Amino acid sequence: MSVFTPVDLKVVSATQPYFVYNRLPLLAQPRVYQLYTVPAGFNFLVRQIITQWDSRVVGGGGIGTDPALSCEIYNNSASRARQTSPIPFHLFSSPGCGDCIAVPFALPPLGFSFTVVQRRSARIMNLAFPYGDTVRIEITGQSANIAIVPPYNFLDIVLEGYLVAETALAMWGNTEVNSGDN
Amino acid sequence: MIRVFNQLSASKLFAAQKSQYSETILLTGVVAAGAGLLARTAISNLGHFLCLKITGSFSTLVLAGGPPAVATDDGIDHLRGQLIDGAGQRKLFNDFIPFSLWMSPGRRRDATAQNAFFPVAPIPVSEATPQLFYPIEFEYLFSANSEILLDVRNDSDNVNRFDVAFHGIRILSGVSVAGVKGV
Repeated sequence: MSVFTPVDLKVVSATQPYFVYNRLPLLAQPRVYQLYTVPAGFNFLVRQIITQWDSRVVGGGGIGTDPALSCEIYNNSASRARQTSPIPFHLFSSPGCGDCIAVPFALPPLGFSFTVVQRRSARIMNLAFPYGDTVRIEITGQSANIAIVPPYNFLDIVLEGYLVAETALAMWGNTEVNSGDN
Repeated sequence: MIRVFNQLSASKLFAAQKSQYSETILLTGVVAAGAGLLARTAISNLGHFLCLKITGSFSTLVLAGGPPAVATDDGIDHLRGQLIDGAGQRKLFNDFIPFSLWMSPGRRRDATAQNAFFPVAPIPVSEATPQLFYPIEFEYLFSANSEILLDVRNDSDNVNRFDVAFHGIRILSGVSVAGVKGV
């Protein structure tokens, strides 16, 4: 699309960008879940997944860096994975954990922030994961031997996507559907 | 998509430009220490604005050194915000998102940082601004006369600044097009 392509207001009005942010605790367990329930009347189109976590690791007899976490993306209702095995975040998400350190807030409320790290690349996913009910992402990679240092063991995740209106529904003015006459 | 080898028609391009053209809308703010700010920018009455991409940068200042403590760039993300369409108060983020997760180029070296060239113990010299620049896809139609709102929180004990640019297409309304045509 260029600036000289006529804009169809009806088309561009049917969607809105929506960024979903969550901070997940990475407990001493092999699998944690990111769940997001899509609002009724919309579908959610995930375009990009941004993640960030602390780079410090304990375990395996010493201190390491850059723990690798992986993720599996599911259709929640069908419990069907979008891939055959967990994919490391580093391969499709940015900035990940490279040199990133979690730091307590300077002022109340108590909480943590991250050092700002150099993003290695854009890593734009030229893909879309459409969801009709609940987004379910399962994060793996921690084990009893390799774990991110407490209390910095959490993961920031942002799902960048679009809410797409179900324009066939009566709530959007389509009275021919669900009107009881058909 | 305009390609360099396409034959361009100046008359057609000028005609199209009377109804829509590229525009960037800037949203800036200064957030006091430990405080919040509802920053806003107006779409104006020229017409609707179709945003395509967003970019942004922000400072990472904190008080350190001394006494007295001075503004120092510690490279930590102290700002988080929630983007809102002023028309109907429609939230475009579900929560306050740390700036470093959705802004590019992101952190910038601030002119007021005392460690721009020399360390302020215990904080070393501030790093250079990240070089990677990629506008984040954000396709949304802001209506004429509305506002873009950004609710920001600053957890630092020093002020922090930010700039967000919305890149897109201005779609002139009938009234403003009539003004352009002079009728």
